[in-house]
Amino acid sequence: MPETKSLQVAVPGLPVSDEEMVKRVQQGNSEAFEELVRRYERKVYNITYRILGNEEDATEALQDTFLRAYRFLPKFGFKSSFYTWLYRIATNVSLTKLRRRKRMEMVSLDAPLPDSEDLRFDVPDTGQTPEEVFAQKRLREKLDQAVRELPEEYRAVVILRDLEGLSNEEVGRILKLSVPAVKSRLHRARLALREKLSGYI
Amino acid sequence: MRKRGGHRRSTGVQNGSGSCDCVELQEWALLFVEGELPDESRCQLLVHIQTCTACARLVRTLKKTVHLCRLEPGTVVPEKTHRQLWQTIRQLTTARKSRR
Repeated sequence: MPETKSLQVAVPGLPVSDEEMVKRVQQGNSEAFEELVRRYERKVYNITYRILGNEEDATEALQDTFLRAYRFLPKFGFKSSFYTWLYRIATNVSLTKLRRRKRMEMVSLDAPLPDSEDLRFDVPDTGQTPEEVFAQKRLREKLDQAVRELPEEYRAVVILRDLEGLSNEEVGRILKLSVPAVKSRLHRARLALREKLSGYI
Repeated sequence: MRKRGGHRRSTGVQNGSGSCDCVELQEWALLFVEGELPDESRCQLLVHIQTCTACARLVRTLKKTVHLCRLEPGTVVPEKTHRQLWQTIRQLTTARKSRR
């Protein structure tokens, strides 16, 4: 969760809130938009990558998300937080791309198989032995694969709720679902993930 | 805990295949992991998993799955992706600046 989201006013020496940055963009300040991109580039990439599962599509979706954000930011009405709004764009762009890809795959039998070596994980230095680091990496790869294999309606919920750490209410706002619907999908998704990871946990 | 077939029991019984027939357990386990299971049900669940290995495993692996997800640090933005994005962003913002 962004640390600056609760700051509502610009205080010298303190980070400027997202909302303040959005106001500056709306007043024509392009540097403010660049700052928002810097803050959310990795978060948005993680959403697009997790939904789409490959670098090329995730890169396109990342660019598309920020292009749309730039285009629609002048109309941003502060009814939700900036990042909820941005994550909704990223999720919608990625899901649309995923559906389009699935339709293409139905007519193309020579689509390349996903290469697990393409997965890039940021493994922090935790003082683990190389074996432990390898086991951890393997488990993360399995988790990533298991998430990608979830049905679309479960995938987005588990990515936003469990992997990105948003609340049920925020996920509901992003996906336009009621909180009970978020919880129901999340429960089904967790059971499915547990099943897929059963040999590793 | 309600069993398939309409029985109500306070503790579960494993069937021949080693899995549990408790129909409510799965829902309870999910709520337990989320921290939303009411106290009374939570106590019943904790008593139940003392004697039912299948349900104990369900709760343990479910907790671990959610924990694993929450620990996942995410991917790093690849250098090429980062470069492409910033090329696009700079084109956008430069175009706006030149219009001003």
